[in-house]
Amino acid sequence: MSDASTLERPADTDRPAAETPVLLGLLAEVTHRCPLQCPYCSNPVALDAPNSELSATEWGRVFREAAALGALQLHLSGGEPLARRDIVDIVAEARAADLYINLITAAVNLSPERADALVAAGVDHVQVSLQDATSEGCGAITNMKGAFEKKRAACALVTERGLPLTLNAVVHRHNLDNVERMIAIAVELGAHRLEIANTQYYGWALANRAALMPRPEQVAKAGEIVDAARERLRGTLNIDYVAPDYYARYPKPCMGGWGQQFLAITPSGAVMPCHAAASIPNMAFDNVKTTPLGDIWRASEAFQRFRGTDWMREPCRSCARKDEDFGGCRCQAMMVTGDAANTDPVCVLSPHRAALDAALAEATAADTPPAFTWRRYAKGEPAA
Amino acid sequence: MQPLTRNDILVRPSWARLKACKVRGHPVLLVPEQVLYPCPTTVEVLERLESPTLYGAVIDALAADYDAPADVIETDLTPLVSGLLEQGYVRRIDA
Repeated sequence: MSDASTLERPADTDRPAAETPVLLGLLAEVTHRCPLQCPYCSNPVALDAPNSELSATEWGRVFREAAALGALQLHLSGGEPLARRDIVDIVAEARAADLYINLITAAVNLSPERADALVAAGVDHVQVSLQDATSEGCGAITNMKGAFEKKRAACALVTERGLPLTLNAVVHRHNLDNVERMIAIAVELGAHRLEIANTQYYGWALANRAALMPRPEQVAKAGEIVDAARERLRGTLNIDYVAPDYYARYPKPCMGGWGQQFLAITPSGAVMPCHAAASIPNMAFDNVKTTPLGDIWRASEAFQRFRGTDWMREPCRSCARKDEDFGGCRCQAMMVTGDAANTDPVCVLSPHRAALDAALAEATAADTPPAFTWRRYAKGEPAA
Repeated sequence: MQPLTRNDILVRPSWARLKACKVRGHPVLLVPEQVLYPCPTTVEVLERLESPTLYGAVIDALAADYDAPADVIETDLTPLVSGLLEQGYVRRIDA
């Protein structure tokens, strides 16, 4: 009866060193369509066209292939997954593959009937984005009036049906001062979990970095509020806090290591080790329309390029942390240093850290940040 | 959180899915955005809480299975189950 621990998180790879890692989860971006225009959207600036999207049947085949590779968790996202008329069919396909279904939604177009259908089809958990703690703030960030009220109503539909609810708040200069109120909203709405994640600067967020970067005093205060709330709300609300990269000393283990645990699939079927990997030039991504997922996971050039540690240069190569953070984020290395094989410039040991510090100083210097560039379809470029 | 007693009725919510993972060769607990590896004792508890069950009945069943005194089982089990309650993977329901 005596066991050392109750619950353990899985080891990073679940396999002997020389073998292909066992897949843990996949992010399925079923569409890039979205009624919101958040300026930090994690979608690429070149959005997939609706007529290129995989069908529900194609997604079903992909889900079964993923499950055969060991996938347990499905993150059903977009764009806005509810923008798909056949989202219930996609959920049913995922359930048939025995995946755990996390529906990640803006929740501005969820009706009671659709909520019933999604529950019946097998959704396990719903994550709703919370852009700010007020109607005005939420409207200013999403560029959609009434979004806040619609989200609150949708959260009630989720909890009334007995599903666990996570609120996901991406934080930045314009809303970081409202973290206390966001926590109160999460409690009020009966959320099980609140994820407060500082903006990651790639894609649309990179285009808006000067508008979004928080000031140091905001970051410090938010950290204190989160620490206190975690203690106060233990057993009521789990709070995950993702600290801002530019203020950190060491990088995060992006995606748990490139090609180690996760993959992301775009609406049109391209398979990537990270949902931002398209920002790395000269990297080709195989497509599930033409190649079995197992072949892509095991052998595609995109997954092999930064898998493991052999690709690393100094200072990563001889670093004691290399199996812990895997050199950080390849996309951030690309965007700040111009070479995806460099150490993530967040790392204090990176020779490029000064470039990150300079960007941080420049972005936080202005008393009035610049206007947002909204996330929207515009010939593949950010639209002003 | 209120201390756990033998008279509490417990249940594992349907969204906390216990699954025998063939690829990994051991059970996993699937919860929102996480995969957890429960220890064998946790698996035994979670399996018994698929429907509402008296905590005392869980203790007695394990005591019988392991041929051990119920009070010893309860001492071992209570911190474990309290942790599951705190994380929300097991719920206490009204009688």
